[in-house]
Amino acid sequence: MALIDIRNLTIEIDTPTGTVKAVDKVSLTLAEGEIKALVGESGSGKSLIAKALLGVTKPSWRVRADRMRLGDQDLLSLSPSQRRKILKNDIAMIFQEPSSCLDPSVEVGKQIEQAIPLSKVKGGFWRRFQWRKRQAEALLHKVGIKDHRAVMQSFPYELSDGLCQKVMIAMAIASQPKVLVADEPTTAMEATTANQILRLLHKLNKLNNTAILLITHDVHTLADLADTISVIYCGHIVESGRYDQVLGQPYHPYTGALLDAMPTHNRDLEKKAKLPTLPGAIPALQHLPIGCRLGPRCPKAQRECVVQPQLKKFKGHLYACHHPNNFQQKENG
Amino acid sequence: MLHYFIRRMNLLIITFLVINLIAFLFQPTHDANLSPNLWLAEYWRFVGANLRGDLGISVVSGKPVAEEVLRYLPATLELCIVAFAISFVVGVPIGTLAGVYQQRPLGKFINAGTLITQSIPVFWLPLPLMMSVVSLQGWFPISGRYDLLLEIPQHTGFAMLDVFWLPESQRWPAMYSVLSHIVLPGIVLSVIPTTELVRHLTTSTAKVMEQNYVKAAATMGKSKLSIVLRHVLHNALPPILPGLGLQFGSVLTAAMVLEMVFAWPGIGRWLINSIYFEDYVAIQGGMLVIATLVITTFVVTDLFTALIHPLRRREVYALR
Repeated sequence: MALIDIRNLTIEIDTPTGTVKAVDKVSLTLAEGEIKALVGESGSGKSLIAKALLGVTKPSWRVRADRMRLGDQDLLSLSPSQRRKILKNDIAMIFQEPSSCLDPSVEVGKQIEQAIPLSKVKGGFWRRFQWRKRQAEALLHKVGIKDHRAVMQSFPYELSDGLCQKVMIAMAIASQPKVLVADEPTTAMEATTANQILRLLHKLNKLNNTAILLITHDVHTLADLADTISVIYCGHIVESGRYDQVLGQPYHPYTGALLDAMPTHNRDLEKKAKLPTLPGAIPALQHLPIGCRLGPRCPKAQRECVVQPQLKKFKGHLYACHHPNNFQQKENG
Repeated sequence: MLHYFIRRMNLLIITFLVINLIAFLFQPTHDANLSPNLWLAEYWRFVGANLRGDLGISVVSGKPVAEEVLRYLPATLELCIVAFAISFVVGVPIGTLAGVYQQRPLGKFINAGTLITQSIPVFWLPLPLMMSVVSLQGWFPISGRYDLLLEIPQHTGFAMLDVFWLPESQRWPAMYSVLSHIVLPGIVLSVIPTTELVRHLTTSTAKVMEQNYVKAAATMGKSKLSIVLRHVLHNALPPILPGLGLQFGSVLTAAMVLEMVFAWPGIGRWLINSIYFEDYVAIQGGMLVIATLVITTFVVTDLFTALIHPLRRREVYALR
């Protein structure tokens, strides 16, 4: 059974110019121990999905879904305090700009200790403090920080972004969650640090069987990390499937364009030629086109595209397009 | 930290010298035609005398000014300390609430209330209070520090501490008298620091609520209350402390006005009387003591903030 099961999640946001549908009928499933990547441009609603899943929404948001389950619990019918309990025990999240996500006036060590739930303490209450401290050290070792003493005594502003992200991960795994939501965890980090963080996530996934929902705008970062990939555009899932399916044989023109825009995927490009990009820009949520939301920018758009395409499935590979790429030849032979 | 301490001490010393310079220039006996060397020597002698606590002899009472100041200042300080204590007890919860619910009706209500309270002149506020609560109901006394029949010895000058020198049988009735006398002036005086604290804390809390670590704390399953207590308050309160330390000056000024209204035997009444009698030595001495007190309070608050708030320390080190 899927660990996370979201059906037709819709998020509407009240703005001064009226209500906008930031996320429209998105379905996601995440199996136990799976790494799923959610790829999309900024403003496509990836982070909103994560926040709705965690239940940290603003009063101006309206979140609806046919189904939103974690294991056998229906998240939408829970009271706020039950929801918080789930956040404490089962779901954890890490963010971009990790150094701003740690309390600036508390030592890192104390923050990690606070993140360790007291319910996990073994032995009597008199052992709590020592136990928590040792546990915090063990967590830091687990995320690859050897010099635990220096890190625990420093304040967040004294640490680099990479170290802060490792600390955030340590805090996130302190309660041994089933799901880790990583919201662009490597943005604004240099490549080596980003790699370390991604390797660490991979290791956690393999060792603890933690399912990871990796939200990113960069197809590079998930290169050999994700098991499955969902591509999201303007609040719609446009393509979803196994890693090799989506990256190897993208059906949706948007996925194709995303891959084409990556320098490594088009080595046969002429010297000084422009990278192939789609014309136009991602539309504002107030002015979404009718039908397929990629319509006005799509190189293959035709008359049918004014009707919104439904998700179709082919060999476990979901796509929402009337004229998919890489498909004709496949059907013929 | 040592670096910062030394820099703040520099500020303290220089400001002290400047205040002394101003007092020195306005001395009625000051002779502008002195040669520079002699003038400097005079100035240093003046500063030295002030440092030793020799503020001159009052021409009215014939007693040393320092002695008079020491007799009247503690009463004023007691009033100010009570006012600040009240302002913290009242202002911190209100300011935090207003900051957390800034966009909601509650926040706007508190904001409007603060603005109204702040615009009431502090010398007017006692009058309706006296008329309604006191003269009609007789709840609290409206003048003096304690019952005239009581004889509290002057040891520290702070009546609340001095009552402990009284014999056991008189101690608690005297304490009761002291406390009931300080209620009204304390409340009225606390209006100034409270409104200031609420205003600053509202802005500061609202700013902290926007920060990523507050949002991140929410994703860790902490309730709003525990987020506010654990993360918001101790990031929002320390940065506004130096500003409050600066408020000590205006509170002291307001206390002097209120002393006239409440017949409080403090330094304000003494100073205003000195002005009536054209007792320049006393005015100058009182001014020096009060100014020194204000800058010392500011520097001490600033150092205290740096001590308890790591972000303040970071600012210090980042400047190097």
